Amino acid sequence: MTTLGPVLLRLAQVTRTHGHGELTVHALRSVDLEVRVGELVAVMGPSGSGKSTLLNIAGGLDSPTSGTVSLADAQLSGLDLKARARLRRRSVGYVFQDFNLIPALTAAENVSLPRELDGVSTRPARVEALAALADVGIAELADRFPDELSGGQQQRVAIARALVGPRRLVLADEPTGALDSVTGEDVMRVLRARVDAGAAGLLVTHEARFAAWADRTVFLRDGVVVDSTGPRPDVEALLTLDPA
Amino acid sequence: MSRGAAPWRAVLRIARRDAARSRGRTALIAVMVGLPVLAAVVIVVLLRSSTPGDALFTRLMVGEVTQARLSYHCPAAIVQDVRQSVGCSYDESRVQDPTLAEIEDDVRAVLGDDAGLVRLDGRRALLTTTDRSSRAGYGEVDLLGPVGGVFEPVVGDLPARAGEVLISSWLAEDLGVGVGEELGLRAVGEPEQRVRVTGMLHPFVEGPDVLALPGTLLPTAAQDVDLAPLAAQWGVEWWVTGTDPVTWDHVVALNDLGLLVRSRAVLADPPPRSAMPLHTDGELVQGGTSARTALLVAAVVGAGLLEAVLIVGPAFAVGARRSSRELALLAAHGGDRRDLRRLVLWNGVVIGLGASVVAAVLGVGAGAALVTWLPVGAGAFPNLVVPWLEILGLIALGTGIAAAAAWLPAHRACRVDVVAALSGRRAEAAPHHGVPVVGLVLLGIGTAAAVSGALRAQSGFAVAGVLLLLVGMVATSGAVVTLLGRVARWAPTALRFALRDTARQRGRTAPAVAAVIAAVAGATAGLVFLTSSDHHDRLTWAPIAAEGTVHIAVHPDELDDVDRAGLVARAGAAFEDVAPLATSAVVRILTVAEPDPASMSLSVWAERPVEAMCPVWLLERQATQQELADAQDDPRCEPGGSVLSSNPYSVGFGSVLVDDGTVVRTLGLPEAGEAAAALAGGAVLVNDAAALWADGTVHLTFSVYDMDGSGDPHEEELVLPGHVVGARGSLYGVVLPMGAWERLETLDLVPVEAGVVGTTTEPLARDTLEAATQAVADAIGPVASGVEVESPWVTGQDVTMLVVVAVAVVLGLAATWIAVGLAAAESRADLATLAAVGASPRTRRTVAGAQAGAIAGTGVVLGAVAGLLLGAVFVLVRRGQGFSADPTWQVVLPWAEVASVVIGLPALAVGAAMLLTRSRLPLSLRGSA
Ligand SMILES: Nc1ncnc2c1ncn2[C@@H]1O[C@H](COP(=O)(O)OP(=O)(O)OP(=O)(O)O)[C@@H](O)[C@H]1O
Ligand SMILES: [Mg+2]
Repeated sequence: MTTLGPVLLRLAQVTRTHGHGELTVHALRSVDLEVRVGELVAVMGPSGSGKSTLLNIAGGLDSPTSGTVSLADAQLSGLDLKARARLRRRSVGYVFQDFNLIPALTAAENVSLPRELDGVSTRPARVEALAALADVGIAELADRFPDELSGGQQQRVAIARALVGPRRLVLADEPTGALDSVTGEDVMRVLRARVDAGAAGLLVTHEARFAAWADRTVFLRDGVVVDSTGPRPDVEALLTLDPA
Repeated sequence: MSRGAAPWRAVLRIARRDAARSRGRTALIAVMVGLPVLAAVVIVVLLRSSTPGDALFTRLMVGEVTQARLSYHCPAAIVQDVRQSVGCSYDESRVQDPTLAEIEDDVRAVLGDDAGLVRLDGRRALLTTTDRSSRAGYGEVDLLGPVGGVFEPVVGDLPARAGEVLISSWLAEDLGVGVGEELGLRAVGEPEQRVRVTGMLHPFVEGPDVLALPGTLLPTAAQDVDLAPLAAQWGVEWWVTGTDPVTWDHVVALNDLGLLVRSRAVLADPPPRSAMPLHTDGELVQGGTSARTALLVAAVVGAGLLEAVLIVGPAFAVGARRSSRELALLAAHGGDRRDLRRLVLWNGVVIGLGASVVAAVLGVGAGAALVTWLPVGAGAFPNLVVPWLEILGLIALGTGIAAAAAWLPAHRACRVDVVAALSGRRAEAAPHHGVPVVGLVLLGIGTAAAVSGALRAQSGFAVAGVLLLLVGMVATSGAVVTLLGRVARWAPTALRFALRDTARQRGRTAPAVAAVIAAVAGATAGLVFLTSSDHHDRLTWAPIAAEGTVHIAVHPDELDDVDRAGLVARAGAAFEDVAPLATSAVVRILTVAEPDPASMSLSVWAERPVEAMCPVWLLERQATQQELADAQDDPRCEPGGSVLSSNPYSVGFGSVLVDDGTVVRTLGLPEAGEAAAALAGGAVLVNDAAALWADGTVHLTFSVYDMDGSGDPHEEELVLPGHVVGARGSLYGVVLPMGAWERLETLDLVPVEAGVVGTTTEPLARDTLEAATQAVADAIGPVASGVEVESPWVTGQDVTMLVVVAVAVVLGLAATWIAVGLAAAESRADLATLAAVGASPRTRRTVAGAQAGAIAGTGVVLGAVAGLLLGAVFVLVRRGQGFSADPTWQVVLPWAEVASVVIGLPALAVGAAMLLTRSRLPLSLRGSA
């Protein structure tokens, strides 16, 4: 593991509640979290513990009820809808379990979408997209439509899109959830490589196997961080030992 | 901060591909937008092609060398655009009555002495071959000079000498003659002469049907003759020769002389609209389109456009909801609201533009094919004109409709809850609570404005009201659906589920309900208008005789030998040879006696006593607005009494009848017996009760005037005992007893035979009637004749009504189908749950049926209400269109047809939904992209 870079994402005392009165649900309670450049952080926890909520808040899709989120030196709470959209275009990329790609666009067009939305014209955006696709190892699939790609390939495209151009933070919500374990490992390897190449990642997963690719794991229960591990050594080595 | 064009391009790309991917929906919208555009494009192409384009028009008017063509149109100033007269403004003080020499001097004063004038003199003429004859205009002009280019024959050659003629293709067809053949030609007042046809005129050239060189037939017109009678014959025209162009200023100056000018220079380079004085100080007598009519058209077109938008809308709403994940994804990757909105909006623009362009291309193709392939002849098109500007406008309109339809879904789409959409939770953008309130307010204002506007004949108000009303109705529909959800508590399971779902998913149901409202409102309004119009026709239907009565009329004109008594006897006998009459009577009408009946006309009317007259008529000045408004409610101002004109050469039965009672008795309307007895007793029949004076007399005015409008009319009054009849046919306006005219001292009038009326013992078969008609024509040809049988009232609207109902049902079903189809897809999970807890397939069908029923039912009821209001407003506006309210326009509600839509549409929708559900469900398990 290389030395870690500056803090890219910082959540401080973040609380998120849904509804009110008797129906109040505390999706997150006073969560503190930092993710640095070069770091891949896994989030684990039982269903309903607030993992997706954490991710959505980190990317500005959802807003905390209290607490602060800063992303690449910007305080999210101080930004209007437009500015947050801009931040998402330039700094953060999401990878979801499924429905990741816009079916009407080719792989390259999906990857270049955030760049084009940001005002980069078609040709340079495509150059950036092809570079990002090459980084995840599927440059040759650039002109295929999503329904002509396998699940693993689709997730690689999603990762490429999450890190295209200047984007440095990947928020991945169970990216391996819909994949078989071999393909899942594949996707994790790509994610790990991209983070090592100078990005940062926040990864929600149910499986310890995949969490093992992270530098550290945060455990959530009922919206509270209950545990946090340190970095693990050499996952590839562990894998080869694993008889399963 | 602007991000330039790149985001547009990205969003447009998605919109384009989405349109291509969801083919069914795209096709549906494309057809809905494209079909009207296609129809409209074909219509504009045909319309534009039916008149000569600029190049052809110029050639047909001024040929290759002349500068302008001047046509004498009216004895006062005219108003024209570059091609035709817009009206003749009768400013009393400026009525002119020039001679030929005077007008030519006036023209030279305007154009300068260098301008040459070549004149065409015309007359009415009778053309005969051995077995056929026809009446047509005949003109003489120097065809060997510059004017020859105007009448360049399409077949054959120009006449080279006297005795040779060019004829129109219409006349050639009518007479069955071709180039090289001979004709008999007799112009009014001239002896018959044989002429040879040398060529055929272009079918769209303006002018007489027969053209010859000067000196063929007509004597040279003396320069001091009055222009008006000459013009009344066929028209007098000049071509301006020389090198100086005739400018628009010249045109305006010549218009003042009553001349219509078609100038080469002006046609090539039209003046700006602002330079065209379409309105002058005088009253515009003909041709001006009324602002009220324009507004009524605007209302119908506006409502139609609104309907189109409402009907196409749900397809976009469905599309936007189906792609809510895609939208959320776009948002997750930094698309802001504007980008999301654009995506849906561009989807509309892409489909609308594509459909409109394709429709326009097809329309131009179809129009061109029709123009090119329609058989050459009288009905053919002169040229193919493709009006690109108008077609571009129609493309823009089609695109606009699609874009407007996508507008609301787009605004809804941009408020998508990204997190919810991505996590698969149903993301329903919160409905605006203000909408139903705003809707109710709009509904109220709209109804008030529409009704009050209609009642006070202020179309502008009515139009605005109508549109507001429709929008209000649509906005309120959501609230009604919600209300349905509330009452669902008491409904059985399946129905309750369906109603709740319908209410909860308002984003999906509301557009569908709106579409049903639009379709049903349009149809209902149409039905109301049609029924009311039918009722109006029936009220104004005024039979002049009992059903089955035969009228045989003869129409000799100045070209015929006028032995009227003989003509009528021969016509009657010829008819009876084929179809014997049980009773018959000779019809006589009153006319001006010799010496010159051709140019004199007689009018007779019954003067009302002063207290029965509309106050406005008595004013010696322009009526004020207030007076006009009062007059609208005054029964005395309703159009009642008729003026009857009698000209021996234009008689139908609308003339002044003189009768000893036999004709009226034969015509056989109710009360014919009393009327006949009154006539026999020397009383005059009138059908305007107000024309009967207190002492039981009728005051008739007889007025004789020159046909061409020159000179003062000569009038005399006659007081006779009167008898009022109920028959409203204009024939019964005034029927004179025998001998009444002899009491006139200053007017010399005589009755002449005009035809025969009779009854048959049994109804005439169609072919018997045709044979008898032919026999009459053969017996008195070339004199024109007309045979008619009084027919019963028939409604002409049945088929139209059926089409309106069918269109409403199809559109309504389509809208419901879209919504229910989507509901089925979206409530798949719920239905699966229902099935899992043991609900039978029947339950699922019931649910689908109930959903369809809720949507169609709500839409149909609201739509019918809106439609009845709309229809009533249109009828009321129509009623108030004339000077005073026309009481024969009444709102008649077509309950049976409306009920068939109101009950039929939901029933069909429910039935179809239930039938289709079983086969749909497994299908819908494949994602919902
Ligand atoms: N819109 C909402 N309204 C009400 N409650 C919500 C809403 N969104 C999330 N919650 C609640 O917040 C809590 C956390 O939800 P979250 O989706 O973050 O869980 P999660 O850890 O991602 O679960 P899973 O592993 O099942 O995806 C849950 O109890 C959930 O019910
Ligand atoms: Mg989750």
